[in-house]
This record gives sequence, C-alpha cells and structure tokens, in this order.
Amino acid sequence: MKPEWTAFGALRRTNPVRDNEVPGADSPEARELLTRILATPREQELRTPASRRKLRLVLAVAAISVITIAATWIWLRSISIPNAIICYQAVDLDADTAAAPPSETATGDACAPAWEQQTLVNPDIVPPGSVPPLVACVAENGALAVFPSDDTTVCRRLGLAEPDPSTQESADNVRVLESQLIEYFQSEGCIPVDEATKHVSRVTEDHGLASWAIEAQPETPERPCASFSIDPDLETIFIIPIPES
Amino acid sequence: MLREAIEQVSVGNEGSEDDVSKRRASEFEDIYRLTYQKTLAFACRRTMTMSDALDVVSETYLVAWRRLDKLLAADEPQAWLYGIASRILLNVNRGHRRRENLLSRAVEAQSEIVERDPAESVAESEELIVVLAAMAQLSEFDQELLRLAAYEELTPTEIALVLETRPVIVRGALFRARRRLAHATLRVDKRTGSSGHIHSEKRPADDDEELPQ
Repeated sequence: MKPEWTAFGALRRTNPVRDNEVPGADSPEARELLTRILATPREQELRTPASRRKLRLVLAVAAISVITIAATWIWLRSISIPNAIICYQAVDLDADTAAAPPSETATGDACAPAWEQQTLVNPDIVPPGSVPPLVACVAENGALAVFPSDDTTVCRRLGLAEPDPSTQESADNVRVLESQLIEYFQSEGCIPVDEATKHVSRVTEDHGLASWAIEAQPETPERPCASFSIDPDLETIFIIPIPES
Repeated sequence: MLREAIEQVSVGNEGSEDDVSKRRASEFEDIYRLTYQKTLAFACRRTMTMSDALDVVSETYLVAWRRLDKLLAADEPQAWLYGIASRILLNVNRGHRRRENLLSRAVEAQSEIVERDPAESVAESEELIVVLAAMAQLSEFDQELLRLAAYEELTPTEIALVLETRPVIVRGALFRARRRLAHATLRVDKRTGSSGHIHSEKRPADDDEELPQ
C-alpha cells in the first residue's frame, strides 16, 4: 500500500502552509525583528576568563557531588520547570501521558484529576476513575514526571531523579502563581496590556518573586488584550498582546 | 546539517576575547537567517494567521537571544527553536482557547497565508477538512507529534529535541498516534461520506507504516 494513501500520507499532503510559502529572512518584517532583537541587551553577559576558572571549579565540585550521590543511589534534582507536570498512564516512559491541570503544588497529587476524570485509565492498577498511588520524578528537562505506583524506587528504575525537597517550596510557589494568573486572564475577558502588567507585577511580588522580570510587548489596535507566558528558567513572565476573542 | 551550515558561515569570524560578543551576535544572526522561514511556517501552521505567527516568531527569537548559550550549543538549532515556539504557542493558546476554532478557520486562513493554484487549493481544502476533523479527535500531544512528523518532516530524534523527551518515547508514541489518526479518519469518512478524498484508506489493524527517518 502506498504511503500517500494512508491517513498520515493525507496529513502530509494537506500541509496548510509549506515552508517556502511564507516570507523569508530577507523580508522587511524579518529584518526589522532582527534589528530589534540585536538591540536588546542580554541579561546573561559573557563570562570573563577568571569567572570561567571559577565555573570550572564549581563544575568539578558539582561533578564530584553528583558522583557521590549517584554512588549512594539517591539522585535528587530541582524541579526547575514546575509549570510542566507530565502524568504517565503506566510505569513506563513509553506509556501514554496527559498534562496535569493547574494546581497549587508541584507534586504527584497534581495528576490526581487526570485519573479522576479518566483522562488516564489503567485497569491493571486501579478501576477507571480511581486515583492510584502517585510517585513524582524529575525529568531531564526539570519538569515533573508522575507515575502510578507506590514503589519508591520507580525514579531510580527509570533512570530519573527524585525531586529535591529543598526546591519544593519554590516550585509550589511558581505553581500557585501560574494558577492565579490563569484564573485572572481567563476570568476578566479582554485585559489591556498595561493593566495586566501591573496586576502580574503585584501578584509576583506577593509571591516573593520580586526579582522576576515582567516583559510586556506593546498592545496594538488589532491586539488589545493581554495573555501571558511564564518561563521559570528565565524567571520571566511575558505579557503577550493578542486579538480580542 | 543546519549546524554544519552555520559553522561554515561562521568560519573566519574568530577574533580576540574582546570580539567574542560581536562574534556571538554574528552567530545568532547566521542561525536567524537560516531558520527564520521554517520557524515562521511552523508558527503559521499552528496559529493559522500571519499576524499571530509573526508574534510567536518574534517571541521565539527573543527567548533564543536571551538563551544564546543554549541556542549556540544546540545540535539542531531548528528543532530547539521549534521547541521554544511550541511552548510559547501552548501558553498563548491555553489562555484563550483559540485552537477550538482552528478547524473552522483553517481552510479560510490557508488562503489568507498562501497563494496556490485554485484547483490544487480546492482539492487540498476538501482533504484538509477530513484530516483536520480527524486530528481534532486526537489528544493535543498526538496532534503535535503528527504535525512535527508530517509538516516539519522531523525524525523521531529531532521530535524528541522539540518535545524535550527521548527518541524511544517518540517512536512508540508516534506509532500509536498514527494508528489513532487512521481510526479517526475512518470515523470522519463514515460520518461525512467524504471517503473519496482520502481514498483506499488502510484498515487500522494493517497500519504498519514505517516511521519517517
């Protein structure tokens, strides 16, 4: 059977926008954007040779620490992207997954609604609609990966780290902040960018995250409403103008 | 391949320590020129409006500029940029549920973004409706996997870079997603009677296509 006759083949054929059908890097928009970006100061300045030596020392110490920790089979990792929690249907990295809905903690409990609402079902473990015991591990990218098991060695068996308890509070804090912002942006209809920026700034300070940056793009007549994007890695909240829905 | 192209472009730009900053900006510029069009097309396919897509691209390269170290260290800068754009799209769409209207807007929007031969457009539009209706029945994760494989033509390893997961996970998930798409297409075909557009559909049980390499 020819591949083009399959559903996947049909999907390929119906590519709604081919790469060569949009403006390239020489277009006026692209050149304007590049100029604007290159004029934007970068927060992470280049390291001097002295700081590189310090960095090497820090890395060496860190490497020794990791080896020591690995030797004792207790591998901890900070939850650096607490706003991403992946719920697995089985103790298998190849199993089906669902994203956890907004919650106030960056723990395995965040996946309970996915089981209750039967987004995830695994009759081998619990009846549909029931919540199994949940174990949280930290994926390579710093997101939380949650598996249905009461086995405390799950993370180790899958080659994943366990969440570092010392980072739990700040991870929960980010989770709560994100939940509140989602609620705010969804409940208020069209929020002007200025108003949204002030609100986000206030809420961020309330959470003790005053050092976080808030970057707002200016609104336009076509895009009068604000949405947001949160980046815990950069400690930045982006306010993005969007059209009125 | 893109990494090799960038390295070729960058040859001769080495300088003293004082010039490092300029050289890195120049490397960013090289990557920008080589990736911009694909990144914009990626965003267009997911927002279905040029203005939204330009916003996503703007945000993507701004993040890339701030994370220049990671961009320059990426083995596949294009896949890395798709990953950034993908997360920006997720955040924007989550708040405003714009994807709900994607199916109804897709065909109209396609003609807004691209110019194609009318005969080709009509045939594609009809097939597009069936395929997108089938896609809409899949989970967001399945949809994104299939788009990355079909539209961006990425290998499982590159998809894993975009989704920040492992190639082995992508291979299994992609296989299942393709099977689910075949099931969903059959259901849509039966409901709409549009089987003429995706003809000779394989039975799901026989769906043993090889993954894209």
